[in-house]
Amino acid sequence: MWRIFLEKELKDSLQSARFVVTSLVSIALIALSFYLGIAHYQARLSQYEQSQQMMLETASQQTNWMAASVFAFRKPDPMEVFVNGINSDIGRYSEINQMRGIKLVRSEFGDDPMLAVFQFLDLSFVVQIVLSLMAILFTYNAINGEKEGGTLKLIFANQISKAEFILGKLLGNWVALLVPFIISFLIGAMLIIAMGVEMSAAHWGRFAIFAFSAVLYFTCFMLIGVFVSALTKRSSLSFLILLVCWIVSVLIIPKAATMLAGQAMPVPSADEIESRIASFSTQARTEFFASMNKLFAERFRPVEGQSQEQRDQFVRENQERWQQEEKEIRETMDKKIAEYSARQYEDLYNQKNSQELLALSLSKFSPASAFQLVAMKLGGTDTGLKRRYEDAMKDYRKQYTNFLSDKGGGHGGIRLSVSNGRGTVSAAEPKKINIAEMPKFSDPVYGAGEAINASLFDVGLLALFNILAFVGAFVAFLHYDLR
Amino acid sequence: MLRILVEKELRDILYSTKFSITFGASALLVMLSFYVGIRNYQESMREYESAKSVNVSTMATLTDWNGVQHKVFREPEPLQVLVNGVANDVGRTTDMRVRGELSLFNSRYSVDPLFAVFRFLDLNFVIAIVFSLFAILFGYDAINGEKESGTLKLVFSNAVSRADFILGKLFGSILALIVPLIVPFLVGCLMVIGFGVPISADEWIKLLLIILSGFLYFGAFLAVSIFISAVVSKSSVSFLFSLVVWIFSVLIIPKTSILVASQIAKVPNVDAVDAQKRKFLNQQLAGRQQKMQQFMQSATFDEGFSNRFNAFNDSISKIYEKERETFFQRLNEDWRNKKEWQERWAFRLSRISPTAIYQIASSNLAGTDVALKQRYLEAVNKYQEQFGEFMMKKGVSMGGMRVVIRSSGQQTQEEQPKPINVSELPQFVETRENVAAAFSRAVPDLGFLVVLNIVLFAAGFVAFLKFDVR
Amino acid sequence: MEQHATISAEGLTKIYEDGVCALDHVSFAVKPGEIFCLLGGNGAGKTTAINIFLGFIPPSQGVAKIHNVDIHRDPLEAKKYVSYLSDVVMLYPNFTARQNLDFFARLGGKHALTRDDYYTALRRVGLQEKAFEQKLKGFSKGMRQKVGLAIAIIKESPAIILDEPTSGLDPKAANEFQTTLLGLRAQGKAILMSTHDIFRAKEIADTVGIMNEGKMLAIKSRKELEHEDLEQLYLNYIHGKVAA
Repeated sequence: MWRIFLEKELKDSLQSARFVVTSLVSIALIALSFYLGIAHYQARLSQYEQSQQMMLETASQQTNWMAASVFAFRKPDPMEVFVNGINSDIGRYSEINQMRGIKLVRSEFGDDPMLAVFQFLDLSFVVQIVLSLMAILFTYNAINGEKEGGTLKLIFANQISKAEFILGKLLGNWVALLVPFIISFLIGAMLIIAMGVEMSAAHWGRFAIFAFSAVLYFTCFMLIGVFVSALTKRSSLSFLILLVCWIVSVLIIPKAATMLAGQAMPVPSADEIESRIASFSTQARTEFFASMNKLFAERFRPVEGQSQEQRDQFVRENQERWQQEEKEIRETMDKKIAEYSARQYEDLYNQKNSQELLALSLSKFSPASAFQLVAMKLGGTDTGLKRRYEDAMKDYRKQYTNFLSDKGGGHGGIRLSVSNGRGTVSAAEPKKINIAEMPKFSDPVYGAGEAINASLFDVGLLALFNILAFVGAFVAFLHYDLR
Repeated sequence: MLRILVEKELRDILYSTKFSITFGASALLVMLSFYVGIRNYQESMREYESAKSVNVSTMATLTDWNGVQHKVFREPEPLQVLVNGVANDVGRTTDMRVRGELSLFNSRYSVDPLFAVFRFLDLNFVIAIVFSLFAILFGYDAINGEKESGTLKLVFSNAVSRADFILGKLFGSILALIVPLIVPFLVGCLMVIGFGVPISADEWIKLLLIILSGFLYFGAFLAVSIFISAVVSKSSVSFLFSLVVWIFSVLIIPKTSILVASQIAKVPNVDAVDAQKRKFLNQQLAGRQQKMQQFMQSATFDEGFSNRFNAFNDSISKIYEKERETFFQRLNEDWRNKKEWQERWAFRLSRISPTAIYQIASSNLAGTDVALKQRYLEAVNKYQEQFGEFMMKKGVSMGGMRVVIRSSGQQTQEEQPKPINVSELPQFVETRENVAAAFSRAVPDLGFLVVLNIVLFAAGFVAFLKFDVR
Repeated sequence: MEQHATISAEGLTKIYEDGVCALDHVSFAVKPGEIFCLLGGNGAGKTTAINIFLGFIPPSQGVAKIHNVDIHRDPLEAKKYVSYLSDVVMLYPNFTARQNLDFFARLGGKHALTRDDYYTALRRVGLQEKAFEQKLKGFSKGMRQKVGLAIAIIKESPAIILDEPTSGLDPKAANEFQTTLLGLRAQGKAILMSTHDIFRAKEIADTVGIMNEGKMLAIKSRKELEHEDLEQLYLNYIHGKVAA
């Protein structure tokens, strides 16, 4: 029996103006978002390659490794086509420098605020906003509309159970929604292939799960639509209620959750942490210099009042031991500073983590943000992106620093040595450096397995939303007054 | 006659469930955006103050101006939390140096990507997205809904002109939309005062202008949806059309116009400009080394060496800095020109959408428009001159290097060096834009909004004149 | 045509853009204190005639006058003298019965009416008291029709035009409606009413105009009809058995 409904429901949907309009709009939008995503990715990729090339070129002109400025760039990932996430908000590269720590600088939005004004139209955004709206539009009058049209009584004048009716209704609407979705995703996939985006099998796998969670997402809104429609008498009212639900879930909860978490768990700013470290190291340095001064005074006490020659002799004898001594003191100081700053950063890291956990847990009350989190985790453009890169770059910095000390350390710039009344500025060896010797930065690996693991919980959450909404719709209709 | 119609329209909406739900939702949102905005402002103010004071206290431990690592911070402004614009995307910290190019880093979103995930809920967002949706909700069945319920015929069986009717529709529904905005807005203003947010008279006026442009903005959406309801005979269809218009105006046109503009007007990659700069700096460095070598070869190392060396170093540094400045300026200007051209295209295209016009107008009023970065950079650059002069006076070398001859083993029995007096440092003061300047930048877009209202309303009017009331 | 007719049609013709001739030189007049029934099936041209009288569509030829004002020449002036009730009266669902009445009364130029005036009008059309201050959302068709009639009454216009007012009403409501209508006639209103209900027409009308396919086939007074079977007459006319 439910097949008849399924058929009727499908025909009803497919022939309606609303189906034609909404599916055309969503197909156009999804295809557009694919195109724009690909164009953006390719632009970023060429910028990345160009920048890296230029960095190497400039560095290879140097004759001294110390003078070469080396940067590690974030490599664009094809998954950005679908989910831009925080990709444009965080810095694109970091200078790799002995003296300074890793700092991702020059975010795309910071470089070009024009892009930040309206942001990007990425696929996850279109799915989040447009498909959910469409799902509501399809189902807001699923039950009460039939009542208003008087068809509900006509249908139930036949030998039909409520369960059959509602199942047919849901399935019919779902298939009707799936049609434009599948069409547009196929167009998108073809665009990806046609425009030559290099997607590995793992990428395709992530994309497939992304598509699957998109289906879960709009199904959830569809079920909620039927649910509300079965709870209210008039379709105009159910539409209004659904629209408010939509606004709250898509626009309000995600933003409000992160902001409230930010206020409930304030985290010190980066400036604060940096300044704290700076003041600590200044103090440590002052202590260091003070102890060095004291040391000097003590060293020369034995030769006090003796002739210059004796003193020189004394210096020569002890020079090596003194240097060792000085090195040790310096190293203890460096270690102390390093430990302090590590502790500060770890504290910050932990605080930020718990803030993030709270924010994201709060936001998950909304299917829209659950979907957005799934999408970002699958795309690797979640908040972890910054951390992953910073960690990878820290490792690289160590590697690079080791490489530099192998190449003969010291400090960059001009080395000035004065001896025997003749000054020379040694501008290092005149030979140009061989850039190929330099260790290469390898991007952090964020594999399909990791992505799927990270997003599994939220996919499950989406499924749970679906089950709840389905049960809600089903039960509400069983109690529906058919008169 | 018009008064009766407006009154009826207002009443009709005010008594409806539609209105109570929208009023509830918008009151909640507007007040939430105020509350969160205020807390956000206080939080960033706290951060700003502490960063500034730590910066000062770090410097205060130094005994020599040479070791100063001065930082300048962008001060949060109350209006920026209500109209975010690009304020959270542009860097907030600058390492102040005596010479060299300055850059901004530590933007809000790059420091806390968590907030970038969903971005902030500001007043501007509520108006741009939610109120436009409500406007559609109020207007989509203005004409055809009355026809469906049969009241249109009844109304026109009286001595009512069509102009009166449609004007009544428009004014009535605008007033009914203003209420859910203005009431929570006033509460929000009280919150601003209650929380003690320092907000100047100028900023109050700007805020008022922002709200007024918000009225114009959803007025345009009302006019569009009334127009559609006069063209389409079924209200369910006209809602669909209005929603499509909304989706395009709010979501599609602004975003795509930026991308289209970047196709039309190409701007060189920022990294390429950076590489050019770096290359130039490397050349300069090589030149310096040569000059230095020449100097050293002819130098005599006596008592006055270090002074002579420093003087020489300063003099060539000045020349090089000048050279660098002109070169960088040319590069930057070149890039800015291209960029500005692209931006002009992007915004010109985006102005097809009322949402984009409104956002441009309101961010201009709040000072969070795209030019924020440029304006701030200019202010910082001006300060750099002041800072440079001051540091020169304090005997800090321009060259970034100095020679202190200390023969090792010599016992220095000088008195303890005195810490520097940080308060001597020139203060960095950002001048906030006055109303007139902000307004003059926003005027074209406000004008657009007015014109758009008139055009759309005229279209609705003409469509209604042809509307078959039977 | 008599000069003192309140509603008059002279050679009204309406040809739609698609060439359909909805009215073909129709003439009639309704005097004060007269109920004129336009009788005809679906598509006979009754509603077209009414739409012309309300200025919703212009006539292709001929003149429609209300209170001696050409509705096409000066629609706003003419509409001062007419009130209207349609077949589908949904009214404003968020308004109460009184608020609906209040709005339309003021549209009709009655600005100084009190709550009591509205209640009197609502009582007059037979709406139960407890419904006066209820929103129209929950009203039945009969109740809405009563409010509609109250709207038509309260304007106190000399002409009243009713489009299928009794369709879908239960017998009791239809009877009450008829009573109210007769009261209005007694006040000297000119009432033009379209219907396809032959029995109601015979019962209430002073004059019946039989229409088919845009033509006025016959205009019969109550006297002329007294001894005739209107139903038979109607069927004869539309089947062309009797020459017009």
